[in-house]
Amino acid sequence: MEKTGAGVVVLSAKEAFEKLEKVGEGTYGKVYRAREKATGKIVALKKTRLHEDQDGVPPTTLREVSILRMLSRDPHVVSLMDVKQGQNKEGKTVLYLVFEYMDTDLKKFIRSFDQPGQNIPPETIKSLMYQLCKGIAFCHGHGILHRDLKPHNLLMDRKTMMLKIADLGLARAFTVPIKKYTHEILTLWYRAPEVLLGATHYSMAVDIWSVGCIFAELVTRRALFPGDSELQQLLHIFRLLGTPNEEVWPGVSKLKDWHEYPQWNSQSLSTAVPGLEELGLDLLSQMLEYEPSKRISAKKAMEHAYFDDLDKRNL
Amino acid sequence: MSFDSSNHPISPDLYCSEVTSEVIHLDSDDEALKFNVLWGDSDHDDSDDESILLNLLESEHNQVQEQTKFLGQQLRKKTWLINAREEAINWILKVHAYYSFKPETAYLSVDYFNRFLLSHTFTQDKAWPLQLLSVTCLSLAAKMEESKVPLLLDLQVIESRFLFKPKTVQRMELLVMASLKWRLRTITPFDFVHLFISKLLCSASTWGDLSYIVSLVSDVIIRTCLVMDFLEFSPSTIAAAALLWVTNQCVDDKKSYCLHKNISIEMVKKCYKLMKQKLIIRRSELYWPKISQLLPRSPTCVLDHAAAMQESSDAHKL
Repeated sequence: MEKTGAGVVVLSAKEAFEKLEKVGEGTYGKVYRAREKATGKIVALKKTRLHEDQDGVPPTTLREVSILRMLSRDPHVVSLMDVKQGQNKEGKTVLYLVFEYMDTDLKKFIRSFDQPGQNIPPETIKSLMYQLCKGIAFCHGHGILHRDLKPHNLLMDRKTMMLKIADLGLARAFTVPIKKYTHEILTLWYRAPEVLLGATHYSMAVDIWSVGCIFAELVTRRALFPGDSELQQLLHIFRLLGTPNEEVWPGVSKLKDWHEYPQWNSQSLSTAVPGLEELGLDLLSQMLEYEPSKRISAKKAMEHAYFDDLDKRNL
Repeated sequence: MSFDSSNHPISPDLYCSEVTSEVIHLDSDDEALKFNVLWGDSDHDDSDDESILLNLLESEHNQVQEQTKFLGQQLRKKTWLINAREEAINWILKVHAYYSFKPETAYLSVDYFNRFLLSHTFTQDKAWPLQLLSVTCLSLAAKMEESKVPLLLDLQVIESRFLFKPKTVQRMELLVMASLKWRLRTITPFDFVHLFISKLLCSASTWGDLSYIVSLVSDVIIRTCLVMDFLEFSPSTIAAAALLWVTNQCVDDKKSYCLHKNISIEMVKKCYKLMKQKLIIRRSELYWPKISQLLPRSPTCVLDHAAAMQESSDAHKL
């Protein structure tokens, strides 16, 4: 077997980059801030070790890389610049995903407003939400569900206030029926009720639910539904939005994990998200529709009147 | 993880091991749910469909279709490679059937295989490189598309002359992915099938009909992988031609086949004609009458179907 033409020179990650510091743990690996020696450019290296006793490259790595290669044209999806092979100290093969570097994420950004009464400015919330809807609309328009949207997965540039979607290791294409994984790792707080109730076919609506939860959190700086178990997560949701029934959500009682639940009436969203303007509350309510098919799409959310007074020229 | 082989009898015909009443029934439920969940049956919005289709066609265009055309030219210069490629793809399809993988998995396996052949030269004297490539491409596709992926050793249980260690396959995986520039999520005909069906059959009376049609279209699409001549057609063209081929047989009303202004009618006709010519495609018809007996159909459709069988030459006119 021989290559035709000039083969691609696979430069070792160690030779190409100088690691500066570890900046986090992604879903399946460590993330480093690094400098590319050839250009001096600062990048983020996401390291994935390939265990040779296992079965080749992990599916999550394959999916994330492949999907990012497909989506890299959008300014609101983090840009994957390259994939490098390398070896760690024990001589094991590792992969480095080379991303553009973003200096913070939405989780840290929200936590930075930590003084009582110190809220994120409404125009900043509006801009971030618009960018999020735009990025998700792009993913959905290309048949990709994210499935793990949360503030930690939304990278930000503090100077420009640009927001980018990251960590697509659990993303799936629409054409792939998604069965529940034995060890599925999904943050509970942003999980849609149909997922919690055992629906086996996800739709774009699961991401919209997460967007709604993030929206509320931007306003209040606290998670909207902070459950610590699947049951508690559902009860948090039902306490605010009312316990669903066949009238408000046809088919809900037939979902696999449906049980009898305490009956709550719905509360006004304004009690849970004080300080959000009327149009914002309307958009939020459409994102938190129980019935997945009635939940607003990301594309339609971008057209909602809440964003009318936003200057979109640079977004 | 390993599979009990007694649960997966090897079908003498590739993909058709999935043609059982049990699978059809499950597919009916899944497809109905999929339509409702994915597009919200009652709230279906045509502009969203149009937008998705446009994005898909744009991505497809960016996928550098010229590459697979060149592969066709390259293959014709080496008779041995045409046969070796067909043998490799046959092996992939047998494993696909054995594990009841999704149609998308089979198609992607062959897509990776083809794309790798474009940039690498193989010599005739050694058989193991193509076998290793087959195992690797199937593994990559299964990881991309399947919820449960068999172990690398288990993937090689069927008619493999060589058995590769996981370490070897992993090294090959990295080589293939680098060669493909890690673009494993590619546009396939399956991305278009549901969208085209919703255009052609917007008044389908039962979901059962849809899952039945999807199953037949998938079968045709898989078979095109075995015929080198289909390499010149884009995924959307193959999807359109396969759907028209199938619906001429089974659906009682014909709709305009101008599925989208960006799709070349001439190419669809050419692809359709090729399907008519190639025995491997036509052979799939042998399984359709049996399938149709498993599903309730209106008397009109049954009569139309019988008429279509008697006038097959007319039915295939485009």
